[in-house]
Amino acid sequence: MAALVVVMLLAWFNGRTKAMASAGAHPSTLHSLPGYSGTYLAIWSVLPAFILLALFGLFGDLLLNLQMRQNLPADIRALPVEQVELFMRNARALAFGGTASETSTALQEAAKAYANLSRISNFVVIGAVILLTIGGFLYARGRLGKNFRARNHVEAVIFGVLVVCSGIAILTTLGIVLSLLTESLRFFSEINALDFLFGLKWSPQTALRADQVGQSGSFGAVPLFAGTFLITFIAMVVAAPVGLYSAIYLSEYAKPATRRIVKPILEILAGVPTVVYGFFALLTIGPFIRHAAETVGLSAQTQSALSAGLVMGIMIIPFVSSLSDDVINAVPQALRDGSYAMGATQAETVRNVVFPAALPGIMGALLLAISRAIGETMIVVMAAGQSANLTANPLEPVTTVTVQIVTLLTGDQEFDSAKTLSAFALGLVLFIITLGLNIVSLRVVRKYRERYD
Amino acid sequence: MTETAKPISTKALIAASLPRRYRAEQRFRLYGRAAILLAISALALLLFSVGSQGFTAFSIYRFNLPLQLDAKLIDPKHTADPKVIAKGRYRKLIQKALSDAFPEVRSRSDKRALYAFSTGLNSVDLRNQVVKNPSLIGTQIRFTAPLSDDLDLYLKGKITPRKFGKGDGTLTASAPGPKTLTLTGQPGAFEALIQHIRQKRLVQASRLETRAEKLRERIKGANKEVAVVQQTEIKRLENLAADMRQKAKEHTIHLDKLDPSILIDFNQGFIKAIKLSDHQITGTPLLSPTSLEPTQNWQSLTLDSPERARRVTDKQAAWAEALLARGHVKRSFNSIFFTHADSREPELAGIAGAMVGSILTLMATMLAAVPIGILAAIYLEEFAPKNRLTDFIEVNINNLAAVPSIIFGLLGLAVFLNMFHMPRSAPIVGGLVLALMTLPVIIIASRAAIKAVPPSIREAALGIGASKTQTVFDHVLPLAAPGILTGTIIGLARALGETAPLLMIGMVAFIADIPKSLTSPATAMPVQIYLWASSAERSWESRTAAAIIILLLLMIILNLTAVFLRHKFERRW
Repeated sequence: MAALVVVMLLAWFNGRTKAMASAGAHPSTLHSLPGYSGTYLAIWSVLPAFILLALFGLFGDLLLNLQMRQNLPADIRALPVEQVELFMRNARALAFGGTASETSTALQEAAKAYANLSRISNFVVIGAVILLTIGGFLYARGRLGKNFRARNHVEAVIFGVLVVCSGIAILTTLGIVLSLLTESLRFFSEINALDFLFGLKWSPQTALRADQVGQSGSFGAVPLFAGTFLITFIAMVVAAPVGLYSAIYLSEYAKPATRRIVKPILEILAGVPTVVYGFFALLTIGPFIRHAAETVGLSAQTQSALSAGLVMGIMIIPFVSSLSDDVINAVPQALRDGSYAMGATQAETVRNVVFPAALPGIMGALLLAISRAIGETMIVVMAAGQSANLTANPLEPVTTVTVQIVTLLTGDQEFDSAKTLSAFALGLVLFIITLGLNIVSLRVVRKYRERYD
Repeated sequence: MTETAKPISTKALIAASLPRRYRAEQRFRLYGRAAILLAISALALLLFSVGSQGFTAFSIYRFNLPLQLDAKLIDPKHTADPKVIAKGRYRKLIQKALSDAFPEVRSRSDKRALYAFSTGLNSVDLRNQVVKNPSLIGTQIRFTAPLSDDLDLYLKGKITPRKFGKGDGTLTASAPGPKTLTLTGQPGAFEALIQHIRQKRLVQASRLETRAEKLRERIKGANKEVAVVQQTEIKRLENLAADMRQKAKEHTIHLDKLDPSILIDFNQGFIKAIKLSDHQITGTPLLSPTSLEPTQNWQSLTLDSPERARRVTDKQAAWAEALLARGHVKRSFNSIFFTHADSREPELAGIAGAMVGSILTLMATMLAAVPIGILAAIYLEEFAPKNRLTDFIEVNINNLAAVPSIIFGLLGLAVFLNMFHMPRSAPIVGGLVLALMTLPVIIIASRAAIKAVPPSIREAALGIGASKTQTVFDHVLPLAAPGILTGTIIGLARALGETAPLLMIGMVAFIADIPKSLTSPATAMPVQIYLWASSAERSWESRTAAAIIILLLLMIILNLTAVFLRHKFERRW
């Protein structure tokens, strides 16, 4: 890497001097500024080599693995998938100085082959990098000259980089969809999708060995959906009225000075990390609710749907209020003036004129808030509990989709079991739901904005 | 019939309805105010509860004892070999220093209780000191280490409040037996203590009665068998309550296991009261007084929660008080919290590891997300043709900004860890995941900033012969920089507080070292908070809250920087 940077600097200076020299006594006759010639040369000497290195870094390991797998002895290739994986992992560990969980002669052999292969591939890549660097440098240097349009070439490269960068957004979405889909498909090849979506029992403990009992592993996700829905509902019961009324008060009644102070304070609520809300729910709200419930003679636990929902509601107040605030502000003043002229009070105007006019936008804001609540993780992980309860009682602990994703994937486990794969299936469901909500709400908000613009 | 009814004028109708409508107006306003008040008070409650729990963790009680570095326990053969020295029995040395402070502690169980003052891990610190400076062997040093978390909590009054009562008049002592001590003061010297115990017993009794009452309520509708079982329970509770009330009337109080503990600090000793009358106390010495001379200089210490309900025994409390009085235990700034990484022992745990992990992660995020985000924004705002593809990119970015963060964690797990075999728990992976997450935020903010630069700037640059690229990079970008920077900082601040995606890629492991590079295992601040919050012991609570305070401070600093930059460089066109 460092070598590439040095080469780049050298090439830049070299290209610049060459361009100056080619112009002789009149640098102004050059087509492009000499710096561009330098950049052109630098790009040609470094970029191809860099791309090769990056590709090798990303896919070298993968190729190496594939190659190794081809060369494995037949008896090992015949083993089940997990054991082959284990063998490969051990071979890798032996080859690169890690700790292997077992050693055998076959393993030693494989490790040696592995190390060899990796050494060879490293040599090849380094050689190729050096060749590319020199080749690129010579080719580009040959092209430099007085009339060479260095700037246009450099700009073309810059343009390419810009396009690639904005493509990363698409790549991310693609990556999300593909990774969720492939893992989910693997999961659904083991477990029926209908059982997953409509099953009533969730206990993802699968048997590690065939002789274990009581570890049937059932993946009915309905309790998780119900828990998610319950908590989201409680959160919206808190956030929707509070957020809406704050937005109405701030945009219709409050003095500009009040608005200047109160709005940022509400925004702070959105900026507090969710893990802090989780702590708050676990140590302040949870015990408080339990205590309050016990004084009225109800039984409650510290971890409950209610405490998680309340705190989540507090968290999404600012989402509702600032979005609705924008929407309400976008309602044209003429509508209000008309209403006042008819003799309506301010409250009547808000309720009967402004609110109906802003309703689509407000719905969009609420949908966005719901999608935020469904996808929220840390509050529910800390405050809602882990037991898959199918209940509508907010005082009992429930579990949600996000909580299960976290519990399934934290801690060490094999990547290929149905248990871990189910997390991706849950993720897929979560992604589809939130994506749907987002698309609908963004469209609604945009449509609405266009109407009054 | 109605034709005689006078037509009421509209004006009168409206006038009649006005009071009602104005009341509705007032109500409406009130709802608005209440909503805002509710939101703000929720924030205040949140900050207050975190703040009040967190500030105690910024100080800690340390003990400071003379410690004989006995060569027999470190290097018995005088080899001076660092390896031998490193294997010395340092734990034993610390225990010896503790028992030297209280020579009268002899029994095995008492010794164990005393050794609990110092966690075993303190020996590592001592060992390091000796290994670094072997000439210390055989000498006496003063060894300072944090007091164990339970004792620390006790001294902070978090286990049960330490209520001191200044002694009134002279107190004389006599020892009727080997394990008892009678303290006699002036009449009424202990009246306040007696009143306190009586009151506590009455409170206890009424609490039992309400419980019995509640049970009685509940069995009204229940079936017979349950009712019978509950009936005995009610009887038991009521008997207990009656007993309590009776005992509250006692003239001479006999303290039992449900009562608060009363310790009398007398001539540097502590006597636990068993029998209490208004001028005389009989009790067992927890720590023997240095003499039985009469003294005016005594005080009482009341610990309201009964001994068996707390994690610190009366004896331990007495020792801790004695060490505090002798100056061997002092409260000081908790530097450990800022210099250590995570630890199994709360008193040795700190946030330095998580902090460095967060900084490394954020660095990776910044290196990846900022250039890509800005370049993408430039393309979309300045170069992109208006077509299907760019529309699609735009919708994409808006949607990505609203995808739950945990999904990004799943992406990181599937792509970075399982496909590219990047190291687990490494800041670089965490940084990349967070970068993908903040990318849309940065792109959206940068686009807004670039859009705000007026077209006249571009036209002027193009007019004097600059190329499109030169215009954008040399003229538009510098003018949009403050806005871009603000958006970027806000995006990074959000990334700093993000937890869920980091859980997915394994940054939740217990890591007792400060991470050194982008690939070494690490945690981040919010993850550390999550880990501590899920620990059971009480003393983690205040440390969790303290870590939250630090995290919030960091985020506030970042956000204030953003606000400051915006105000300083904001330009209205």
